[in-house]
Amino acid sequence: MRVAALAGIVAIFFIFAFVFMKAAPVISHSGLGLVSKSGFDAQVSEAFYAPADEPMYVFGMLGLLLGTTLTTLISLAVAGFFSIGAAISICELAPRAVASPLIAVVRLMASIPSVVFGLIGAMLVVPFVERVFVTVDMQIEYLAFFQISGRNLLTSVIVLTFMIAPTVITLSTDALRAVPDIYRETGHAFGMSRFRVVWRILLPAARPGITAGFLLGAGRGVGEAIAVSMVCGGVGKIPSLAHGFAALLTPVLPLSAAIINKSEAMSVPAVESALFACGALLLVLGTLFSLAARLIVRRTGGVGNAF
Amino acid sequence: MRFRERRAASALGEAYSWVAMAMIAAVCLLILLTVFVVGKDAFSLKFLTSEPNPSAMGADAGGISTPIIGTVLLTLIGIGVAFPLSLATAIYTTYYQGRGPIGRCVNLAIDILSGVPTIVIALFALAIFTNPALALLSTPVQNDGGAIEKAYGRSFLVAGVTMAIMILPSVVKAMAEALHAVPAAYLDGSLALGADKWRTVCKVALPSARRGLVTGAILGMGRIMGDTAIVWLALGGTLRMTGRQPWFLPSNWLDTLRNTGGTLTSYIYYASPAGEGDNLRVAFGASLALILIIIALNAAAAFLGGAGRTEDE
Amino acid sequence: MNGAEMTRSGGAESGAGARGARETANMAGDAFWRPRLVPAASAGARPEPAASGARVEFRGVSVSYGGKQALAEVSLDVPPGSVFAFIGPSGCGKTTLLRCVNRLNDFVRGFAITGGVFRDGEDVYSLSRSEDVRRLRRGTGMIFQKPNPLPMSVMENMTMPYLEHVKSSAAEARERAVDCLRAAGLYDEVANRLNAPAAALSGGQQQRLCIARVLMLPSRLLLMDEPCSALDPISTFKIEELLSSLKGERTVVMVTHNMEQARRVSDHTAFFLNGRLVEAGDTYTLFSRPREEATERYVTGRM
Repeated sequence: MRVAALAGIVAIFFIFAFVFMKAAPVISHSGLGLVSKSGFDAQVSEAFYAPADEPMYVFGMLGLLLGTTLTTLISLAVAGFFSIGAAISICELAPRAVASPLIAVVRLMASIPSVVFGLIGAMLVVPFVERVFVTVDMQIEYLAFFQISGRNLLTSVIVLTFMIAPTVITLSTDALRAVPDIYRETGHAFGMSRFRVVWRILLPAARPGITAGFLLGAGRGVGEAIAVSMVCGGVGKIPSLAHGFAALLTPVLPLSAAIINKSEAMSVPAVESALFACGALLLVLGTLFSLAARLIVRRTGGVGNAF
Repeated sequence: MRFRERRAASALGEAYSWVAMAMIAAVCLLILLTVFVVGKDAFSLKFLTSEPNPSAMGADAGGISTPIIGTVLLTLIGIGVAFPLSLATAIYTTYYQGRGPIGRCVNLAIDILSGVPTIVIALFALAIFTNPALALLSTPVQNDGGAIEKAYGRSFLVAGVTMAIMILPSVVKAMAEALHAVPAAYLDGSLALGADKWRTVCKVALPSARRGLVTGAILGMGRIMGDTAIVWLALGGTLRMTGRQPWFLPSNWLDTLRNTGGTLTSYIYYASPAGEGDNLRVAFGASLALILIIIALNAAAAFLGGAGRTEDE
Repeated sequence: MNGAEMTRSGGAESGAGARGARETANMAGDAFWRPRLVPAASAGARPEPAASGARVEFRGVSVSYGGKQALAEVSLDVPPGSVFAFIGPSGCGKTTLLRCVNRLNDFVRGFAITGGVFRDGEDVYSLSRSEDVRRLRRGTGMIFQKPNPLPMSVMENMTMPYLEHVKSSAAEARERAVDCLRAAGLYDEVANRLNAPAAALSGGQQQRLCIARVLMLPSRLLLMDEPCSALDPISTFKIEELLSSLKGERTVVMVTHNMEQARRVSDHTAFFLNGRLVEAGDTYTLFSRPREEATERYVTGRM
């Protein structure tokens, strides 16, 4: 039993070892340029067609890193905004006849596989974005920078929001429900209104659980490969504020989607190494998330337990 | 003393909450209805029981029997590997080494592992299972001289082990929670009667936590069914079984497990506009099937969890 | 009397409504108020207006939860400025009656009441707008059985309800909080822990913090639901001392299981049994010469 209990340690050790080992050629050739330079798409095809005796190991993944960051942060903000409100309604405002079926639906949504969200994205969201936001004039105007289609940053954010929100709502409602009734009564006994009780007392009391929901949502956003790869546009462009609204229509390629999108070129060792470098960056990001979550849970959890 | 009523703040706050809930409800219903309405057209007994058409999707795309079987197979292998490992880890950290240095390391490793994206775990599988020493999990690739150069690295066994790594943290956490919920008085009672620790764990802690343990395992099974990245990279994501045919003969079972295949998720990906199939009808049909399986699984978990509660009361 | 059927959410808890004119000065306690300071000469202490406690009357109050009767036909007068104790065995309805005074029962599923609960002559169950109910609660201090500090620091516990209701600066609120902590005799014990989580205090300190917190808002009525049942004797003593310093300018209605406590601190006592008021009167008489046999059996510990 003791040996079996070490499986986690062995797994994490081998994951780090193998991913970094495979990524080593690209990391050592690219140096810091790996995260400060862009042009991943061109580099992949260059590496793919490079002669076998002089492989191309220099890659720049700034575009992918920004793709991951932007899609995750924006969708987390949007999902968080709606999820908190929905959780408040479900737990504190809505009558049970509305809240119970709704929370069941939300839990079901949280367990729906990401590929189904990708499918919905490709079938509903891509045409929607194309019809509502994209015009021919726009496509011509930005042709020099990128091709505008229905697959872009905005679409990725919408699909990721669909995926993240149920997770955040589920954890937030769990946290709100776990707040002892005595806190509600305390607020009401002071003559606070129903919403003010929620805002000033229940949400702060539920903060550790809600934070955990956000971290889980962020983790899902960073790690989500399939659904995003289906709607992101597949080109690692960097959105520029100079383009105004069109920046939201920039095709992007987050790190995890890049691994799926370019996996067919993996037979070439240089491309394989580059994709492992994507994996290494994701691994570092994911580890940072876990450690942050640990820290937050330990700090607030310590105080929370005392109550 | 001048009082403030905060009428506007309260009204605004409530309005925000209601609108947010309405938006969320609308989106959830839109998505679920889309899957059900579009998916039900493809749904038939024939669709569920026939193999996918090997060449193209087209009008006669075939059914989803092998993806369903692939999903079931992969889930069973994954949980089969993950269950003993998770249980051992949960027992170890809960009852033996929770606060010791090794226990801390195990907990830290589990925490870090829970943050590793599945796509990275899939990549890792590609790196390790192509090692010729692990060729028995997949098929060996021979070079011109006939010597084994490396393993193919994609098969049901490989993907199953990879899935086990993926779900390990969540199953361990669920199981540890179940074990923590066992009242200390039960354990003390057993220890006071002179039973040693291991017997106490086996005879007292595990039986009284068993519903929580099963629920944790079901949670992990749900995650396996929903994953696509590992299926795509470590199982191959083919439409049909690729081992010796017919794959369902018992004599070919081992060969099937050592070869590539697909699951419902990889089928959906393949049949989506992003894949090569581009056949929405069957993609949604398969989505509907997958969601129904997951609903059944969740219902089982809820039933077990609920039954556990009434028994305790 | 006018019977009002209240169910959960009570109709009054929802809907904002237009700004109304029904604010009654006596209920809201709008008069300028500052806590009485234990160290008599404190900097910045202003002269206190002669405040007096609120009058509470119950007229034929019957309460049921989901059809199950909890209180039947209770009529009782609580004189202004007195300490009034409700005693009786568990489940006799005394806490239910207490929670009718600030309508905290509105949140209980299936709660229904008939009869009238009057505060300074106004039937609290005739209040239909949520703001009026909130104003009623704002002007009523409530102490619960279990100390209920909120999951925040000592200082935040003190200032949060105040800043929620009063147009005031944070600095002013903190200053007032210190005054109130002094009035509750807690300041010296927590002076260097004002920013520590309130849960880190001992049980007795937490309960005194809750009393100090209630003093932050002007209230002429204090409801206490077994305030000392979770505390040790020394903490209980401190709270009883604090209580007697508060009476006069506030009416105190307290539920207690502890008959010695009722005898020590209350002016009047009411004895409840099985949802009925058996006997009420001044404390000395009730304990020394009870009219009813049930009362006598209870106060002498034979029941």
